[in-house]
Amino acid sequence: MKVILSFRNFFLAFIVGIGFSLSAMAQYETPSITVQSMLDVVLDILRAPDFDIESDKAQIDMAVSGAFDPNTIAQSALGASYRDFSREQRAEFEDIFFSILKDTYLERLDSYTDETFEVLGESIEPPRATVETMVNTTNSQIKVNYSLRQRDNGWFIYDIIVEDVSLLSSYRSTYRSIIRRDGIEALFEELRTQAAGLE
Amino acid sequence: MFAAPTLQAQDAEADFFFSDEEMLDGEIADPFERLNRITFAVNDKLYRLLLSPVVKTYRLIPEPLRVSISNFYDNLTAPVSSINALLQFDLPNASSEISRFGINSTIGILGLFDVANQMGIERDREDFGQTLGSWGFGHGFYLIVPVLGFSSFRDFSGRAAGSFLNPNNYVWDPEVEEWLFYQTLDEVNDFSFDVDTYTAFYDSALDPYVFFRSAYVQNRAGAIDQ
Repeated sequence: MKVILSFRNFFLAFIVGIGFSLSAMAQYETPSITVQSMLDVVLDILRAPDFDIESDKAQIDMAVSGAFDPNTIAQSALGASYRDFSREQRAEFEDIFFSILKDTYLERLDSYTDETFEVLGESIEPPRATVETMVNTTNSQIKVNYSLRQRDNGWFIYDIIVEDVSLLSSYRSTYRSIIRRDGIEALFEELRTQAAGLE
Repeated sequence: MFAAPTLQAQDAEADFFFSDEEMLDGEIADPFERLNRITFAVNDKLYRLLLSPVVKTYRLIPEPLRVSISNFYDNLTAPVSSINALLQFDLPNASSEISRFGINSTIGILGLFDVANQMGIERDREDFGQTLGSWGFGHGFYLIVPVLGFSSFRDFSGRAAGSFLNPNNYVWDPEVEEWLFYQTLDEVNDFSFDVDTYTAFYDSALDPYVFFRSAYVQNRAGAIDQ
């Protein structure tokens, strides 16, 4: 069961992602600059004495939406099945999945305690990049990598990999198995129900 | 007239970004899926109804003490870890794991303090599952073990071999209740650092069984590569 424990860092990593769109455009310039500057911004917010999840939610939501690349996230979550989706289905999936991710992770903002984050390095193979970071908690060090994609206006996150577990791969396995068993429409049914439940 | 990007153009983009091969990570043979799903459901109930309430109370213990308990348990796994590093022909790690055991058991007061880490000797755990993996053995098939949770034929066999070869077991000959207490404290203490993450992931995944199966396989693949 111990593998579960490292999962909590997805939440922390997601929190960290929020800093992206709060920072200026120039800070999207290279993957590691973006990550480093967002770490600073986010930790400032989280460590502020008046930080409050409920009242800061709308602002955070907006910030997250700007920091990530929902289109690439959707492609990654569906894998090969993406080709079988119509344009309308792709757009709907992109919307629903991204809002499920946000709802799930923003609820967890309070899981931040006193972890510190350091950027260790980056490797860039345009249009992809990986930024390696380390999260230091009270009793362990956890490897967290961000996958970014280059767009015309900078680098954007599409995956978070904690201790070699890719967040998107895990969702992808789930969706693939549902599509294989029951088809695309069944997946949409389940996603719509889930999204409705979260609101 | 501007046309919206065609599906073909979007396909090219999707193909460019995610090759089919890379899309298949996290897969494992699962011939006993029906049984595994039942065990998974039982383990989930055990977690929610038994472990989680206990952990929430247990968290009243101050964090530094819980960290020390965690260090203590970790330290006891170091000898086996060192043996495994050796079996993987990873001499540097074999020696650093055994040094960690020596340093933490003495200066670190029976392993309560991770002094070795402060000295720059970092932990890199190896178990028999990883050793078998590094020798080229695949998982075989996915296995959810009652109470213990996610595993595979290979990793569970490794776990059995590991406890057989664990020198600690020849030093300490516990009664059943003592052993149960020892194991339970380890689990409870580990979970006390994080109470709700498991349930949040469980709830966010449409099929939590598949979600955690994928995560398990990826995590083990990464551990073996290192």
